[in-house]
Amino acid sequence: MSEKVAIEVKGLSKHFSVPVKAEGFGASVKSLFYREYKSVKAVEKISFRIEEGEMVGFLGPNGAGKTTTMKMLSGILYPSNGVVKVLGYNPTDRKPAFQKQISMVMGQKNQLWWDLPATDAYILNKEIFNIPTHEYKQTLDELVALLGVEEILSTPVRKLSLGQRMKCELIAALLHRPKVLFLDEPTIGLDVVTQKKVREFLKKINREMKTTILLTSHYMEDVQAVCPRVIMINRGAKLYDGTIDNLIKTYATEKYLQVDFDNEIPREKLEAIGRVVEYEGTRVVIAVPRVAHAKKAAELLTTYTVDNLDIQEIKLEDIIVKHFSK
Amino acid sequence: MKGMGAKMWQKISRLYHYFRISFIMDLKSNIAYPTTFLFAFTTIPLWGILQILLIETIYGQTSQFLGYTKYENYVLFGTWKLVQSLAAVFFFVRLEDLPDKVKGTSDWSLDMMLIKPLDSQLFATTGKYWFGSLSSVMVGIGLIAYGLMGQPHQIGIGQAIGYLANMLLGVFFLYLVFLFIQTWLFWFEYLEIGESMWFTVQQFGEFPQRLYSGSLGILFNILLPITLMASVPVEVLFGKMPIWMFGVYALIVLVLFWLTRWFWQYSIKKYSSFSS
Amino acid sequence: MKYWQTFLLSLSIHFQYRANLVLWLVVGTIQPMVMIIMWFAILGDRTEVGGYARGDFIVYFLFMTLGWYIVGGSFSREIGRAIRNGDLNKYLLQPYHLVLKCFFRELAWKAVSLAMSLPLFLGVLYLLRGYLSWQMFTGPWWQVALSLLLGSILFALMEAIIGSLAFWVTEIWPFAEMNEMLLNFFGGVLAPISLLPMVVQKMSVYTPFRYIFYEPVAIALGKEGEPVKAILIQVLYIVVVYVVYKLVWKQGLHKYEGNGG
Repeated sequence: MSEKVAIEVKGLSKHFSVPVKAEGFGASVKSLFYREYKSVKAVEKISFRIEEGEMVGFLGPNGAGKTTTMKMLSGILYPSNGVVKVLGYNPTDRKPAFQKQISMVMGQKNQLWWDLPATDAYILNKEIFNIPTHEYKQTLDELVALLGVEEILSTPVRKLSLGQRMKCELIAALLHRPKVLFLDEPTIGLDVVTQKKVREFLKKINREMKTTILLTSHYMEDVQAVCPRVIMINRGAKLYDGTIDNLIKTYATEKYLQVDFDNEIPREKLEAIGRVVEYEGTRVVIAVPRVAHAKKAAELLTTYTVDNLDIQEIKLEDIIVKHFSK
Repeated sequence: MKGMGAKMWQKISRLYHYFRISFIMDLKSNIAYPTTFLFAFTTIPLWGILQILLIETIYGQTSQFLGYTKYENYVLFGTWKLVQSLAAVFFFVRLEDLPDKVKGTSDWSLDMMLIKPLDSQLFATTGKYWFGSLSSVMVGIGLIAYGLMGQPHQIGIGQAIGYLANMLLGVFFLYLVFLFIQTWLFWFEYLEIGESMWFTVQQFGEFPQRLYSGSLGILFNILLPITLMASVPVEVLFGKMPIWMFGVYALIVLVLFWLTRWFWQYSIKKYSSFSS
Repeated sequence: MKYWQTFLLSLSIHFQYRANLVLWLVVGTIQPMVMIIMWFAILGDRTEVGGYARGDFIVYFLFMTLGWYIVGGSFSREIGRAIRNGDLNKYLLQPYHLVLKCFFRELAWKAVSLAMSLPLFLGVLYLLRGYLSWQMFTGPWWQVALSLLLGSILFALMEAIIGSLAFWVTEIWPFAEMNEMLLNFFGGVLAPISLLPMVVQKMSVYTPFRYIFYEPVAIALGKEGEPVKAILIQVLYIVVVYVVYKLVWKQGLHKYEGNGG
């Protein structure tokens, strides 16, 4: 990992002016003549540095400001305040030299044409990014091999499954060998096998192409599998910046046991095993210390008649609520 | 000096390649939906019948309308149809789709277009074609031919070239109008009316310049020369307007281009993407 | 009751999007203005043409435009969309008919536009009062009102039929456009029917289009010689078109349910 800074952000803020929605008919009529606006702070004074070749995950609940931050880093949105420098450029200047070095994958509809095979979109990208032909072929072959999509390249995109589409999108995004790759919720809606493949792929290209990767997600598993470093954001503010291991060790101290009992067990008895989070008759969710969760699970299974037991990761929202809410 | 020339050439060559690939892709995309094309191809020219009815109605009540005889009016209307159809073929699709791009309900979002190293206006407002209007182009040509055959005029080469040049200027002007209308949706949350407005504004272009007098005349003949669609080219063709007027109109359109482009770039800057 | 709720909700949504409202208003007034300017130019030095003087033209086109807000309001697109993307399913499960819902949604839009455009119309009429006189409005008001009501029912039924075509075709806009064109052609939108070429006038009697906008306006302006006959023909057309609509909808639904949407 080089010492060069790829992304530098200081005191970054983004405020949106949102009209206040009128409630009721009378207010609707009034809104015809006079409109009130309120300021929504989507991102509030965020600062961080990312070096070239790093893989960083942006973690946070929906609406936390991750996507907004990413849009400011790629130059789509204009910051309200603060400084952003990506690869030495100011993203909102949208200089072609800058744009040729970055790439973004946001949701599902990015750069492929719905009615045409993916290869057509690749050729278009080749023209847009002015990629020399031999380099284009080499990169394309490499990426196609990594993701194993040779057969589907000539099928119209609308006929592909979501997982296949995502893989094709990723290839399109990397054809010009960008230095920085922004990914917004890349595995949302994908099946487990494809999710794994995508994560492996990202790690590979980070290693081999030295691409700096930023990905946002509200799934902790996403970030856990791929990014050594995580930045946690909630309500526009940065809450944590460090390794994921540390995050888990420090904050995710519990695991959830979701149990379906055969008959109702009195709450007090369960309290002896762990903290009861949810109690709905025969279905109960108990929080137990992470280190002891296997033992606690075994205890439940042997003491009571259990229909089903699920071991779940503590939810991100719960970490935030528990440790970061004011 | 030579370096600048080479750079210019490189830019043009790149643009050419981009448009070529984009056109081929668009063609392929359209071939996937033959019924849509067929429907458009067959129904769009029907609107021409309406205008023929209008002309016949007008000339049923009077033998000359604003200095135009019936056959001259057919040339006028045919030219209008031709300009309208060409503008639709080249500029309708992307501009009509712009609200959906902004809302994220189209296939690409505007966001993705903005981070590509291609001029945003070029990318987001051109590159896709409305092939269905080609039949309308033919109708327009047919009407012009009908009008010219019904009442032959003496037409010199200069006038013919001036006619074509002004028509093309008219097509480009329509692009600017649509662009201007659609750019406003960056400022207003909910603007579905762009397409209707564009076609409505074009209606002013159906008539001879003489229809508009006073301040209306200054508006439609000079400031926002919608009469470039038909009246100006036809009057150049018939020798009623000097050929050098093209220079004046070209200048006006150039200024309008500069203004609309500035408006576009300024609006993009203030753009808050809705897909958040 | 539920349709009234739809109406109220749609009204409130329209108030939110005021820019859109204002612009539709602007767009709506351009067509009649262009037509008026054109006919003034045709008149030239003459005072009247085919029984229409300058004032008559003004009133005619303004009323035709006003008529759109009372009688018109295209909602076939909404119906088509709901059928094509499967939204129809939820209507089939409820006693809440898709067509009626679209109709009432459009009604709200028309009501708002009418309310907003009325002052504008009155303003224009006032400005051009030199051309006008009270004798222009000779039709008995009950006939006018009845004719307007019948015209709007006829229009709505035709919109419903067009929308229902979505059961069979992916794109209904060509049919909607053809309908609009025929309305312009035979319906008096382009020009008073009595001024159109003879052959078109004769044809228009056999189509339902003149009985949608033109007849109510003609009755109001005293240009319809036999108002009662016209109203009866309106009723006749409504019956016929209603039967067609019912058939089309039933067949379409049959096909829709057969395919699972």
